[in-house]
Amino acid sequence: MAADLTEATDAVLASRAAEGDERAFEVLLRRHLGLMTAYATRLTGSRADATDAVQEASITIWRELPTLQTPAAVKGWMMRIVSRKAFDLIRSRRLTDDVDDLELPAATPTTDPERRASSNDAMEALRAALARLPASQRQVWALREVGGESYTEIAERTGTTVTAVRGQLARARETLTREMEAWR
Amino acid sequence: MSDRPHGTDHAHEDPTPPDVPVALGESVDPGASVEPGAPVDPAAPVDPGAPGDAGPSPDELVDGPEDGVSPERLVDYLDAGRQPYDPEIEESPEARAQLAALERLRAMGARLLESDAAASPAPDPSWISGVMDRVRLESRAGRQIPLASIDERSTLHITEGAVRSLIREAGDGVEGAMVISCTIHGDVSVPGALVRVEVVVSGLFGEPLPALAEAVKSAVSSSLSRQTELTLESVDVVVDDVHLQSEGGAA
Repeated sequence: MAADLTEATDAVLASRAAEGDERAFEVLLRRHLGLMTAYATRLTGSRADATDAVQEASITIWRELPTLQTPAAVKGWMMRIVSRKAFDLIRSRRLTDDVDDLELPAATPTTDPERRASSNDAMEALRAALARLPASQRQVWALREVGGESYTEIAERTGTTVTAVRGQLARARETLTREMEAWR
Repeated sequence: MSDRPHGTDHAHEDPTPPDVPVALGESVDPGASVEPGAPVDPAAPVDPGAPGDAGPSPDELVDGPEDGVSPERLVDYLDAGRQPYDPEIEESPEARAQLAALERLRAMGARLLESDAAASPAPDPSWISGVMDRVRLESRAGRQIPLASIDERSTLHITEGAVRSLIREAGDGVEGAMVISCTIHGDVSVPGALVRVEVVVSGLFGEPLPALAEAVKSAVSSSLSRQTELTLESVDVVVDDVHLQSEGGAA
């Protein structure tokens, strides 16, 4: 029986893809596509924009894989490329559309009553609270708490300073912890 | 919320007025974020010249000994894994409650994408094939390896990428082996030059690794001698990892 790539670790897939194994790349991409798209949706506020950003990110990931020093850390690295591409898109949209705020992400992606009544209630509450935040705070919060990006990286993405990022994060956290108080 | 040195009058309604740029001590100009009349503790170790991108520096975030602990300092403490032990935080019930709230929020943030992804439709198969088409346009060919040609006016090459594919195929075909990487050493652009191939593999847990390495070596050697004109000096196999049968999805 030949080796089954779908059972390979991220590190193995990343090494092989870096050396040109397209099949390994496809397995890696499929494995993380859901998270990549969800992250881009959180950042752009639009599923359609997220799909575009993830497509650009995927090609960039393929191109830049040979430069990745730690193949085991490929997932976080891929997610950072996703956020880079999401913000490229957000910037180009701002230049053309001149919109202040972005389409809000769906606070309630599922209407299945059983699902809503389950342990997802707190997560639903978080989604709703996030949807009420100003777009800039929501983005900065997602970059930090969801993407685990550094203050410096976030400042680069959003074109602001580390001080401004920390301030926005503090306000976002304060609002969110207050709104989530009932869900402890 | 803690009593912070600014805005104590309306802190109960809106602890973080949105027009205050940074409600914390770490702003570039600490005076700017403090409202008039707020008690500025001259003993507080605030460095006015601190650059904003100096990263977490808990000492700069002290609001003053009697004013509780700033949310930002709590976050930095959390980021540092609650190390080193900070008695001012750990021994204040209020600060510990805030810390717990921040930790809960962080834990939920870590699960948010999984939850979003689970509630989203599966990716369109045509989307993936579109991406893979673009990927194949940018295949990593690597060096060109010339082949002997009977016709002097034309040249034949195979790419290093194609040779790597052969190596991976051969190695993966060995029961219990999975190729991690392979390197072709030597000047492959010169016909007949000696080349050394190094193959790094992972072995299935439980397989005898020396036999596995030997099998990979002979599979790769025979595949390359049969399908290329490379003059192999050696095929070196390194078993660098051991994997379990069903670890699909493992990072």
